[in-house]
Amino acid sequence: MESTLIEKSIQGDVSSFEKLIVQYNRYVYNIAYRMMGNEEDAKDMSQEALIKAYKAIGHFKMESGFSTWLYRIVINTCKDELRKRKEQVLSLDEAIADNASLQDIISDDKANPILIYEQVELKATLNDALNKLSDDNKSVVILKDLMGYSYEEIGEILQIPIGTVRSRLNRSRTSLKSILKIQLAEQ
Amino acid sequence: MNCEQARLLMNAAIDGDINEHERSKLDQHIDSCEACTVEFEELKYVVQMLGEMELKALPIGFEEELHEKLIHVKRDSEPVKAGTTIMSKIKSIHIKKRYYGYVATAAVLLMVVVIGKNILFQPKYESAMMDTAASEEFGRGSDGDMLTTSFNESVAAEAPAMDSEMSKAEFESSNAMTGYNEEPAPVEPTELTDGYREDRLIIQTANLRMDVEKYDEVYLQITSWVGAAGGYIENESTSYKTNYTDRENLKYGYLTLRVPATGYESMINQIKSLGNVTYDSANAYDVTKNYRDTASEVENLKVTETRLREIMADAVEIKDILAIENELTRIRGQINSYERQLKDWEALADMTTITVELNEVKSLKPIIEPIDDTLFGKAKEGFIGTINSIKLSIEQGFIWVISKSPILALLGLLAVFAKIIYTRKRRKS
Repeated sequence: MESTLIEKSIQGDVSSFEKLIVQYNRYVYNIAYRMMGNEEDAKDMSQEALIKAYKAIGHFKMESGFSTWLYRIVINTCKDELRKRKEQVLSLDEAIADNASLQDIISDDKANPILIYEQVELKATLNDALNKLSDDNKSVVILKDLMGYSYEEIGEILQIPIGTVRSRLNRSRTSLKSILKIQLAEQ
Repeated sequence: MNCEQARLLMNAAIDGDINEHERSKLDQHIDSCEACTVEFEELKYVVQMLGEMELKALPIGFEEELHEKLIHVKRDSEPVKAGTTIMSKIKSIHIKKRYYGYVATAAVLLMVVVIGKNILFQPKYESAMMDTAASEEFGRGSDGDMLTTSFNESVAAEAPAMDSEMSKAEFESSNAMTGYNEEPAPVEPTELTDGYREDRLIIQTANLRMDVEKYDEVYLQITSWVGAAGGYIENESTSYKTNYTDRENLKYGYLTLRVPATGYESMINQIKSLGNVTYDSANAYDVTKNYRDTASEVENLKVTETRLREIMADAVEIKDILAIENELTRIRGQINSYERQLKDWEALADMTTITVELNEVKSLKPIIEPIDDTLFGKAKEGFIGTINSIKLSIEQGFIWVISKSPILALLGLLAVFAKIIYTRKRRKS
């Protein structure tokens, strides 16, 4: 089913391509949303990525899964855009150093809250926290914890070795945790 | 298990990417360590929350908008496509299904003829093609490398030729005499500003096995050469041959030499002139890529370290300081181990390893014995053999009796006593 749709799409049939991507659209949009951090950009980026996929589908080799290939394009599109903008996407270290808010945090009584007791506020800040991760770290977390992919699949999507997936995930989660703590303390 | 190891395992545990043994060790640690319990719970919680983040619905009009864009793209690309891509044209030619077989057969035949002709009659052309392909590959590979900024194209083009010659160039003694005109290893220790080598790192090793006439002289000679070349002897051993039919006290031994890469070839040639080479192999292993990867890893870690130090300067709370210090120690450890690895590679590339096995022989000239294989000759040989073996067994018997005489005497004594006691008992009864 999928392979016939792919073949037709290669020949340029738009409606086949649309049928092909209809089940992935939502995930594409959500990956883009988490990567970019806002709905407007998410829409632009996911559409751009899908158009790229349409143009490049002739290069798609059947040996990898279509979704894997598609998500790779989405993530790369978002990363390119983020790089292009040279917007200060704060990584964890910068976030702490730049804001110079550590002193404020420490002087505060609520310093170093234990996350588990702060359930309500957390969810609200999670998205902000994600945005403070570096692009590479963010994409790993998105694929693993939001989309539920396995280490192998993530390695294939991002084209990195599994060891790197593992270490990036380690780093990202720890960073995320620290960012959340700081955000909570700031509130 | 310490906290650091436990923390590495936590993520694996959360993802179920852990075996039972590790899991139980982790649990043990967590039970005994409060900080890690909190850490683990927090991590789990963060992951859980991430999992609970809801998927956003597609914005209204998303698909319609996309559809318009796609149509637009299609219209734009169509005239170009029709003009350029041959594949789509071929696809548009409809071949009836029953002709597929014939077409395929014809195509296969054509391919066989073309390929066969190329392989049989134009080997040069093909190898040249492969070379360019390899050099392209190489150029691409080095593009992504962080430290190869000044690694210019001419080196890249040269490299594949060098690769095929250097890496795993193992050969037996038959072609060894001509085999050593390799280019000298380009391992001059030029240093970069940040302390990393920029040139290729090639670890060379060579093995020689030789028959020599005067072991001690050869041994001293090699030692003095190595000393003069600025190298040293890493390992050596000498022993007499254990073969006891050999009454010449011939020696056997081996030396592991480390000599600077620049003097490597002249050293090997010098050593070879000392005797008959019976085995000769050389091996070159290119670690340039590994070296650069590790070096860039070190650089990355150093950046992280500096950042952490900056954070450290701002930190006041003991807990923060401890956490940062922990992280710093971990990163320092990693940097140190990588740097050790880099130093090892540098040392290995600077000093090549040569293993020389020396086998002392009475004379390097081959001994030829006349072969007597007539019937009578064989019979004579057999007769002498039998006589010799009889003589040998008599000798051995004699030697056995003499050598075991103390025990035999003792046994004899015992037998006498036993006899006496036995006869006395008989008399009494």
